[in-house]
Amino acid sequence: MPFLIDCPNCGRRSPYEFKFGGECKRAPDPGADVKAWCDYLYLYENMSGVQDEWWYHTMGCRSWLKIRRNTVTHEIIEE
Amino acid sequence: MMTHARAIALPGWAGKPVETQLEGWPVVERFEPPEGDCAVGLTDLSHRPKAIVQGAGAQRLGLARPGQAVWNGQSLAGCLKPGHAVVLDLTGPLEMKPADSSWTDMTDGWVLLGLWGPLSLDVVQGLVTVDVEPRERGGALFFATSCHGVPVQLFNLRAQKPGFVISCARSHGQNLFEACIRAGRQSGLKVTGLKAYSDWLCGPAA
Ligand SMILES: [Zn+2]
Repeated sequence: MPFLIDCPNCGRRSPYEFKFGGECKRAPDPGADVKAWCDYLYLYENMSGVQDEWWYHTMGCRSWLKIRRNTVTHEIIEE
Repeated sequence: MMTHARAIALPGWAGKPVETQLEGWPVVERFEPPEGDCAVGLTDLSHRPKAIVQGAGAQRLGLARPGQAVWNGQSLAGCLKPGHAVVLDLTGPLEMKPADSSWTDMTDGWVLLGLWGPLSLDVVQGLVTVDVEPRERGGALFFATSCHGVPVQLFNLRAQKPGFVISCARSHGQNLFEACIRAGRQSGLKVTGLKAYSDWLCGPAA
């Protein structure tokens, strides 16, 4: 993976220190029907381009962080 | 008193270990023949007290930002992230009682290795991919990072002489120990007992 991730706690680190947590999605409202929850759990955009993602710093500060990444070029986009 | 098993098997080339017990921990005092001067010493310090501290306890340690560490000549405290710290006691009494419920005792859970001596920076830099001696930052430093895919806690003491301590889960201890040996092969690394380590850390006992 030819990119580095800037962890706000640990600084710039190899992505191999992180666990990919998937694309950021908005959870359905608590009263939503089963289909909405199934879609939330199992369907992904699989964006070819810029998306917001969760990464967990497993081998660092053990924190979740959100990054915006171009899935084609791996460029991390500062918000 | 609880009797512990040593987490790390020592290589035969280190010499014949002269062993003793400290509070139920089997430790190597020195090797025969004596280790002599070390460009890099590698010492198993796994019997030393260790803790993770969270919340109010972490705030009381006075660590302002992640990566910052304090070495007071007895113990090391490093900030993992706001409200989370790692504490290692290197020279105090072995019975470190957790100060309060914000302390989690990791003494049995982690191994702890001392990597010290004039060439220790070269060896540590062969183990981890982060810059462990950044010029722009002063004082002792703490890093939570990985070594061969194993999560490790690493302190750069930044005392008068180059020296580091590195810690990981006990189940990976042997792997980390052998990784240190491989990384230090070109630098003349020697495996030492506690005496050589404490002579280096505190000066030779009178
Ligand atoms: Zn981190």
